[in-house]
Amino acid sequence: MAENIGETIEYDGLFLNTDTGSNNEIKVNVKGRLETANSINFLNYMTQLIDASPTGCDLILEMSELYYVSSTGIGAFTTILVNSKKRNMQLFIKNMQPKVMSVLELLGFTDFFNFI
Amino acid sequence: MNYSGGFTRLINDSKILFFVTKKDGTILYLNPFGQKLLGITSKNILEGINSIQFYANPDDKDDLDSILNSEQSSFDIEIRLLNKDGRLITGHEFGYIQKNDNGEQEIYGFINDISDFIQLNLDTAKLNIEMAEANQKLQDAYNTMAQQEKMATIGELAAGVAHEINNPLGFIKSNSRSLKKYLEMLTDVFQKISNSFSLKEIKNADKVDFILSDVKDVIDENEDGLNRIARITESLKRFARMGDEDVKADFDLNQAILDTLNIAQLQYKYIADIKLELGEIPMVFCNGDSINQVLLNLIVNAANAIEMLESKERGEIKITTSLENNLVTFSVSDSGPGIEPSVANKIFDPFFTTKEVGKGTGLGLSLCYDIIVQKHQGKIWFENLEKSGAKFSFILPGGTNE
Repeated sequence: MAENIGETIEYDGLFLNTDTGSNNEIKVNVKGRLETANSINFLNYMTQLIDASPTGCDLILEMSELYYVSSTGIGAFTTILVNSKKRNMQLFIKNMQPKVMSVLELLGFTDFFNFI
Repeated sequence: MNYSGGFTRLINDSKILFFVTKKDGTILYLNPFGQKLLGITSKNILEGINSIQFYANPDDKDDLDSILNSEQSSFDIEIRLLNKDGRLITGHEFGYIQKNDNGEQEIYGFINDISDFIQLNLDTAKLNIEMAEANQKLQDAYNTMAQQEKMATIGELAAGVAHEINNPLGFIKSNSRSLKKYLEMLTDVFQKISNSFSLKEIKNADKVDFILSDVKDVIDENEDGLNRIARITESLKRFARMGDEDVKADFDLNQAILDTLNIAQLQYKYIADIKLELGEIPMVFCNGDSINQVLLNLIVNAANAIEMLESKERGEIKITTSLENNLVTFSVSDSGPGIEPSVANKIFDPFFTTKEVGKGTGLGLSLCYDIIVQKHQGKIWFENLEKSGAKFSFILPGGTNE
């Protein structure tokens, strides 16, 4: 994972780029479409990132250019949330598009996440 | 062969929604199951209905439009619909785009209702989050209790340390009084010399020889006492240092054992002798505060075990360290009653204790397990000794940070 920091990786229409940033903060830019087919890639990517990150840091998912999330993608979000809690990390979802947010609202998941 | 009859029956009888729509979403055809799923009761109502009105999230139409405006001839997406009764339906939609005789785009497709499957998965996901949150709270509570346990232990030790310091302080004070008296006597001697007494007379009458020899003994004893006080306060300072439990550094395990024995003296000195076999071991890269806590818990447990026998004879606590296969090993064995086989598998469980009510929280050994196994990837175990007593051991990955 560490060797991929800074590089953009594509999984079938989903683009991921990690910026370790500063102030004990890790930012992942999530762009494109998070669908059933690439959710597992997204989850694996994030799991490796969380495992390799210092405990207690902030994990920010920048989603201003994420246009679609399937329910499997939401499942991936919840697993990422659980994994980050295990490492005592704070997960923040930043700039989520209203139409993607409405999917989370429909399925009753908004209470679990911190949106900024 | 003509299969169209079979396909017609499949479309009419299956539990899958089949549809044909215009590009703008106007429904041209919906099979019976589709009508039932969406809550359309009369075939006439179907006329002119636009599929967009069933979208739970109207923005999803934008996604479909971007597909229709692309070069794609088919698509495979997840869609959320709200039927006439307001029920949320999650469907897996597969569509094929083709032009009709007028050159207009039409979509032929089917939607498989996967709501139950998705709901089950999402319910599980919610449950996982709630469990993670509950675990987090439990872990926080455990950490707080572990910290309180450490503070309580230090509090108990403070009484012992005060006792250990009081002892040398007693004789240092008494010696100070003697020194003061000696100084007065020697001042008197000098006074007499200045008044021309014979030296021999003075020496005999004023015990000058005794004073001169005792002064050195008294000062030596005071120095020993002060050293003992310094040692014990240094040990306590090293032991009780509050640091970040995640920070690891090179740590002298043998020195830590001596420190722990210093500050825990009162716990064992009247009931057991200590036998030390400290081997040549490298510095261990670990969190020193946590390992101190483990040493203290194991040594005090050994003393408590011997105390439980209520024997008039002194027991023995044997402490060894060694390096085996690049692993630093620590063991403490006691001559107590040993561990009952029936409780052997519970001994490292939180809140399990064999001590009387009020004496043990049941967190000591569970804390040791957490520190050695979880925080340092080491191993901790115990065994009953052949004659009597138990031996607790742990291993830590050896070597320094270099």
